[in-house]
Amino acid sequence: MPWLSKLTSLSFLVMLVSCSGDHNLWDCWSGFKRIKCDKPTAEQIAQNHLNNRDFSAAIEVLTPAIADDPENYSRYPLLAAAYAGRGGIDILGIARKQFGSSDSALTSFSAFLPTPNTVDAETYQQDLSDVASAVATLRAVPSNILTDSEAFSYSASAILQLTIYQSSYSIMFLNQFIISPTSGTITVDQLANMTPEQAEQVLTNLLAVGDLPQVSGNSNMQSAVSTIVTTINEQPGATTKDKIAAYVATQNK
Amino acid sequence: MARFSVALLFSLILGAQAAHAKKTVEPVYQDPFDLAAGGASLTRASKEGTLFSNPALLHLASGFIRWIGSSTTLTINKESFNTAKKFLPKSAGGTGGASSTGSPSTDSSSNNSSTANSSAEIVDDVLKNPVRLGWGEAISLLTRRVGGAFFSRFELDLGAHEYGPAGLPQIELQTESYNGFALGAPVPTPLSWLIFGVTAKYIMASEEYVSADLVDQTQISKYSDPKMAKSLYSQNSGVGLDLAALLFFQGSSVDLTMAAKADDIGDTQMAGDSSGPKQLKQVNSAGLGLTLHTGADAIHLSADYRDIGNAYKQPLFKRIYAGTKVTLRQHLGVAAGFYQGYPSIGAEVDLFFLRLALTAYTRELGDHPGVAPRHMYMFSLSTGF
Repeated sequence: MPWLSKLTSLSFLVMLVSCSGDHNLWDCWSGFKRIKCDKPTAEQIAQNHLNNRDFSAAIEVLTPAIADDPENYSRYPLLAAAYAGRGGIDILGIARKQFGSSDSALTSFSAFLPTPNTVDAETYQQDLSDVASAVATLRAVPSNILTDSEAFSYSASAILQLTIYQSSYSIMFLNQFIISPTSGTITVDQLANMTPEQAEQVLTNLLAVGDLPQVSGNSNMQSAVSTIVTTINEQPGATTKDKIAAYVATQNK
Repeated sequence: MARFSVALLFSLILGAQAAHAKKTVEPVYQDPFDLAAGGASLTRASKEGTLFSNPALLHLASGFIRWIGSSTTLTINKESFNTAKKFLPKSAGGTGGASSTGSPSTDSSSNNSSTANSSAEIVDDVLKNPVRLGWGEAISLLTRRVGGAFFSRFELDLGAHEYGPAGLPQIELQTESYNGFALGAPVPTPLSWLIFGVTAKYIMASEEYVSADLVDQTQISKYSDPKMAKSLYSQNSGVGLDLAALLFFQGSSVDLTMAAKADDIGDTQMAGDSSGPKQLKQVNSAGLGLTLHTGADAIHLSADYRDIGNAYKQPLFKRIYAGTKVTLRQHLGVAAGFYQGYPSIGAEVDLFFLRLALTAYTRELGDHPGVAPRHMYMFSLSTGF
């Protein structure tokens, strides 16, 4: 009976095909082309890219998705994370480090951020720009969502991320003026390149961290940054730049 | 870092808050050989799996006693297996330690550094590779007229992501525990090709899911509330009923089988302190099987379409199961198929009073292919006849 041999062949074909790999038949990229594939959501694809540290690919997925549906704010924290990751923020390192008020936040934080001595000047500016984009992305989320509300599962994470990225940006902005690109040490000499406006910008950036709403988990980080601001303001000097110079001198000891 | 992670894990285990529970469309207990054949078991199930897949199949047993004995299964995902192998000493069959260079070192500082690196690598491995472990046990007596089984299975899944769904490092812990007793019987009809089946079951179950952002220490510490821990170890219980029908057309060398099954008739209500499941929804399924056989060898092709009404709102790939089983001389079997769309494969050896089975399959925990696949190995040892 020819159909019997066909069925027998079919059963062995099933066995052979199932031995051929671990791709899902419904997978849109490597599955069986003759069936309608089951595509993960933009968030799931982006998260996969993030965990593979392909930040640009995650940005490419999320940017059009947000443009198509700008009021789906659950995507904003992921896009911010992609920008921050591309900007060199070691989010896992920050997760591992628990900031306390006794820590020197400047040096503690800098360990998880790109510094002028670890990348070239152009890359550093690109990293700074990416971290600024991360902050801007989360700032675009309406303030009523950026609270520790249980109505949105991503709210607490979003405000915590905003605290991390705003702190990171503030310190990266300051570091470009105080860390030697050659030795990697904090030095007052670098401050010669800082304008008075940039000095004011340093303080404004740091103060922006304290202005964020307090939620579960971000208070230690806010306190750490607040300590920097207080310490700078307590330094002697006529201008903000002078106070920053005096503060940097204390960090260099 | 390792200490931090261990502390975090214990925090989660000691106090877990259920975010949501996951109930699948599958039977509460499955035989490894059935899983190897893509989990398509409505028209052909093995041993105690018969009670949960289709009790009408009991009537097709060749002798009065179909099976009496116990089965123990162990499951581990491929990634955990590889990680364990990586950190085992070479003498124990491992690849010699994560940061080993292969050259002996007498410098204690070098050893300390190596240990630290290994710890970091273990943590990084856990971040990249989820851990899923499981255990199962069943004691059963199956005859042509009636069958009963005590069963217990537990699976734990620990996953961590540098970037979780909200963009922050996240750890997730899921547990799945099903225990109970099932009593099933075929109900023959005057028509030799039509058999009904019924299974009554008492189930104790819990399905837990907890997650925490690693950055947020306050979120982690709240899990140490003892009230939350209760949810993890307590179980909900309920009594349910399954009904099945089997159309069996037997030929000299070809059998055609069609099956219809309704699990948890009228929804099985679960009561208890666990956050889930609170209810096992009624799931209606259909299966088709074709068997080519001689007196001692058989090739069985089967496909199941589970949860036709999609009570659980599952995607299509999680509702279609298909595969083939080849049994030779009734002592050797190989099976392969597609379980939730992923390839599955396995083999079993029946040594009269001892049966060994090995299965490899992939289970998707996400709602789309590739979101959270777990590549599983299952080893089973059965004693009985």
